[in-house]
Amino acid sequence: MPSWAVLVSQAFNGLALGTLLALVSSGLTIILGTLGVLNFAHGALFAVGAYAAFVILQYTQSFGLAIAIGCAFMLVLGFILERLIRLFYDRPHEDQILVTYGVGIVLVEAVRAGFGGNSQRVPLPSWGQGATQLGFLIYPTYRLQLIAIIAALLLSLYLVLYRTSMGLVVRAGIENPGMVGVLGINVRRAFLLVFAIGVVAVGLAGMLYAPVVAVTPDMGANFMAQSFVVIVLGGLGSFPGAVVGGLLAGEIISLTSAFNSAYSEVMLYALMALLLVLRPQGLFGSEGRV
Amino acid sequence: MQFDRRQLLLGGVGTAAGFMLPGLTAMAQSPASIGTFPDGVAADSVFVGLTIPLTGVFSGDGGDLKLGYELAIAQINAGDDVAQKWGLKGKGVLGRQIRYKVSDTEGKPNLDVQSATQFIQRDKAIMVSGSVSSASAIALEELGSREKVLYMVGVAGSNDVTGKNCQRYGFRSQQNAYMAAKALAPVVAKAFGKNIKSAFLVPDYTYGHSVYDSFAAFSKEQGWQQVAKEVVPLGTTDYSSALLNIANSGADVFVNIAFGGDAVASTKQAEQFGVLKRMKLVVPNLSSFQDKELGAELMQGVYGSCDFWWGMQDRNALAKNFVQAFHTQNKYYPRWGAHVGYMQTYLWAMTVERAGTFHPVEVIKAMEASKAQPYDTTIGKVYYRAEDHQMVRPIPILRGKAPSAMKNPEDFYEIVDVVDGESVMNPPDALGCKLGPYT
Amino acid sequence: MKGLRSRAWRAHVPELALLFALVAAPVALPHLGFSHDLLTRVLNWGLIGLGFDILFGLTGLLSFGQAAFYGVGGFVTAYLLVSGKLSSVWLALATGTVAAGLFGLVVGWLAVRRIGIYFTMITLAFGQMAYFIENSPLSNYTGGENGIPGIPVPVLGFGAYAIRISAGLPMYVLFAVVFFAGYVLARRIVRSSVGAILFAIKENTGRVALLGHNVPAYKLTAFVIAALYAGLAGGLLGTFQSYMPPDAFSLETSGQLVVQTIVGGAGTLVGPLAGAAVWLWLRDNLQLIPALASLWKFVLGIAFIVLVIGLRRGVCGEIAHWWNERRNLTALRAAEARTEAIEARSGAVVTEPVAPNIDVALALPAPGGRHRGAGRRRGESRGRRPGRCRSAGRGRPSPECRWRPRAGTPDVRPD
Repeated sequence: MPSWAVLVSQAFNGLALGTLLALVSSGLTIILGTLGVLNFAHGALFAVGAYAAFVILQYTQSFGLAIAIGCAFMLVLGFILERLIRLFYDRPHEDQILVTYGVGIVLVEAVRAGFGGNSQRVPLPSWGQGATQLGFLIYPTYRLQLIAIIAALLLSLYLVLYRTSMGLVVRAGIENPGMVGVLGINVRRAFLLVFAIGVVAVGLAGMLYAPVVAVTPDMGANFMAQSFVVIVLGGLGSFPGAVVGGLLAGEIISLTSAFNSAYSEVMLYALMALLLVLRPQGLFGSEGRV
Repeated sequence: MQFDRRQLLLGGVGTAAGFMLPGLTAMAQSPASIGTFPDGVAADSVFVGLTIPLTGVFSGDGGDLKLGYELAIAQINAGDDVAQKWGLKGKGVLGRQIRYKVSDTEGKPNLDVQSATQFIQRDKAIMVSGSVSSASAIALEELGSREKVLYMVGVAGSNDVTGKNCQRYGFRSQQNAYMAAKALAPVVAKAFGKNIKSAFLVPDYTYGHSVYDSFAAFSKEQGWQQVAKEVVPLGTTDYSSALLNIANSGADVFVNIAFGGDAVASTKQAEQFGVLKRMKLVVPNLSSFQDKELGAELMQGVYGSCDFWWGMQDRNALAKNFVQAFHTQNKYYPRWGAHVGYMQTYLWAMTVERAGTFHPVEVIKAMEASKAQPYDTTIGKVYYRAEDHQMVRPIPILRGKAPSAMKNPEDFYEIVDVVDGESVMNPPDALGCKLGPYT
Repeated sequence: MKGLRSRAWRAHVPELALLFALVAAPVALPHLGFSHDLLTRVLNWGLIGLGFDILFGLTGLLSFGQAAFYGVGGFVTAYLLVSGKLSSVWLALATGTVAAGLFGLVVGWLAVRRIGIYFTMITLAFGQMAYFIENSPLSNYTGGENGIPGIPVPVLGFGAYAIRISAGLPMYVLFAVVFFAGYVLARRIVRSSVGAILFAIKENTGRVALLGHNVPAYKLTAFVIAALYAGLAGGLLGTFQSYMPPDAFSLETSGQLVVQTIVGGAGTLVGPLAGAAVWLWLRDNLQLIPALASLWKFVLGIAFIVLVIGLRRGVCGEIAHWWNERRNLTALRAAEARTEAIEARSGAVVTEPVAPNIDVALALPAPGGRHRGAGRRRGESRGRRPGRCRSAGRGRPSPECRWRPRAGTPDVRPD
């Protein structure tokens, strides 16, 4: 049985991991909720975001500027992708899954062709260096800052979804796209924006995380698998579900690794399977969609 | 309808039986022709199959490996003075040019086996080489022994490759985990002190456990006490949970056994968690591009061992030839992945010329007899041990240089010592090796 | 009688076509870049695909976890053979298949209670769990990420007359025989009453349930069938390459199966086989083009997207669709000819042209007065239409009443 100190430090670490998962998953769940498309290119977009940050940082030295330009790039990429997937709106869902799967492969391989398979180095921003002492715990400063940054991003996303009229249209579109169309609102345009926001969210997560992990073309695959679990935990199509589910998943992974690192991922999948059997709509999903 | 179905079934079985007949006659093979010999030996060329991961987790080492093979094959085919210095005569091997193909295996053992089978069946490869990762090496050794085609192991550090899973048709040049640990432990104990505490980061696969077992045993002999052992799944991207435990363990030395991309990620994150500020870093098996990907600031003062470092060119003429030729062609200094490919190709070519034939059994026997007649190579005199096909060879121990001491952008390490291989070999039967039959 | 006989013959065309293709393939295809080894692998994927197509193409359940059963079958077979518990490869294959089926029973029982994307997620979760369990806790049995090497090849016959099925053509023949048997069995299942209900479940689950069928039980049956096929294929893979790889369990294996099925055409049974042929051929041969050395997967991805956009039903699906359209066209023409012949002979039946639907403004009854319909012409009788359409009480028309709209009258039928 690990000590209190270890458990607390792992719980704290779970928070950091969880916020990242929440950001990645909220993009995925929004896209799934509005367009009904399970985006299998999500992992590839994570990697593309990280590489975009890498490239821009080689020209400018400012991390903040790199993030801003990177977001603009991801926005454009999101628009292009949505146009491609729009061709598949009236085709069965499996075809949409397939085309995103194909796009994912193409993006990863394009990155690999351009940069090679070796990992690239993205340096920490100057304001993120070093480690902070939190009581008995030493924690990297950058990760603490990430928790704050991502929390702010999620909050702004929440504001957009719940306090603007565009957000209202999007939420209504998740509930019942047909009805929204009947009311004369251009649902397609709202969905285009939503898709782009989802892509920007995951690309941003990649950019923010680049200084922490090895930047390789395959870096997004594991995160994508975990974000699938998160959106099931939280409820498909539910934004608060993605946030809570992400935090929960982060905690599960970290706390399990306090006991035995090898089982941390198994525990997550086991929980997902259990939840699907007992309460398939997830924590925040609505019944009747099952 | 019943009549039709019965006819169908009978017809199917009949066709199958008809196709079996060639298999029957093919069974009665004499040792005069075995595997792809002599079909694979044309009058002017032979085919060598290379299974290398060009994409995936090990693609960094894989790219390096490929360039090493290509350099060796080009030199042998041209028959230039470097090849003469190694001991080869004329152009090619026994007068035949080497044709080769590279197949991308993504680091997955299944694809290694698939590609190698293609090379053997379609191209009649007389030798198969390559692969990064011990799992691939073990699978390919098995395949080679089943198909009776020689397999020269690429990059693989686990004990099992020449231990529990050793095969008659497989030969490995890289030092195994036991040798590396036994050579490294005394050196780091002398540098860091005995009776200190150690924390281990172990990737959860056969190579990781192998290196851990060996290094933990030898470091304990030196008086070290283990206070943390974190096992992480292969391919983990976020090591924060494991590193937190290590950071809080109070250890003096952090032993990082992760390899390839995992090594880079874990070391980068260890630095962020302040682990490297408080502990010294030891890497029992350095990865090929770990130095460039992490940078000299992180790698300074780090102790480790590997198959080859280009700094050894100052000690050995053949090494100098290799490094210079490689650098001229590829514009960077070769890492040890390239060296493994280069050396294994030359050793195979030399043994074929010693045996005077491509017949796999003769070549194997010549390699097994190499103790009496060691090879002169880029790292000195080496030979393959007959009992388990592990190469007995010098092992370089490296220490990371401070950025200020680097003479050029790739001068990451200084060679602290080159340990004689004979003194650190494991007893042949200690790892459970039982070689199979020749035919 | 002749008609019946020719129909029976036609029903077996797919089996015969497949038999011909299997026999011709090792002779013709090597010239196109297929080796025997590649063909055998394609057949292996095709075998899993048979079961998966019954699950996905016929019943409409998209599973991303078939790799779990592939792996279970493969590793049970491999472990039994390598550890010496069983010496007969056939027996080990059978055991592995049954083990995969049992595992499929357990997973399926949990999974079929959910529909749509939730079902897919459960299968994905179980697939991943099986992968991690195989990698760590059970690594003493499964060899962890090393896999299990050294699996013996199957042997036909006994003692001195035993024939070892070596790699190359003999192995291909074994796989072809197994695949053909599997295909015949799958066709029987699809054309049986069970298959009909599975197809109905895909079309309209609610109605099937309403008719009184036990839908979860049928779904479970499809799931177990898919698991059995996958388990057999896994066991065969081990003996084929003498090595059982751990990535048989991975998510990528399941994903590749789905991709191949959809590229080849779901619902056609041989779709996965065709998809596997395309995928494996592209992978092997794109790498041989020097300029594309490490770009092969990029080109494969683009080719795949183009295939999905262009061929909506997959390769085999498009072919089957074209074939059916042709057959329907001829059948339609034949039926029309028959009808005309009947009519020419009897002459009693008058075929009136069907009146097009016309928009009519219905006249409202005058307040408090009698009917004065605006649509009535002079000379027509008031009241109801003559003949048999008097109401048989409660406003319902009598059974022999046949409405046929007369020119000029609005097409208003009694309810």
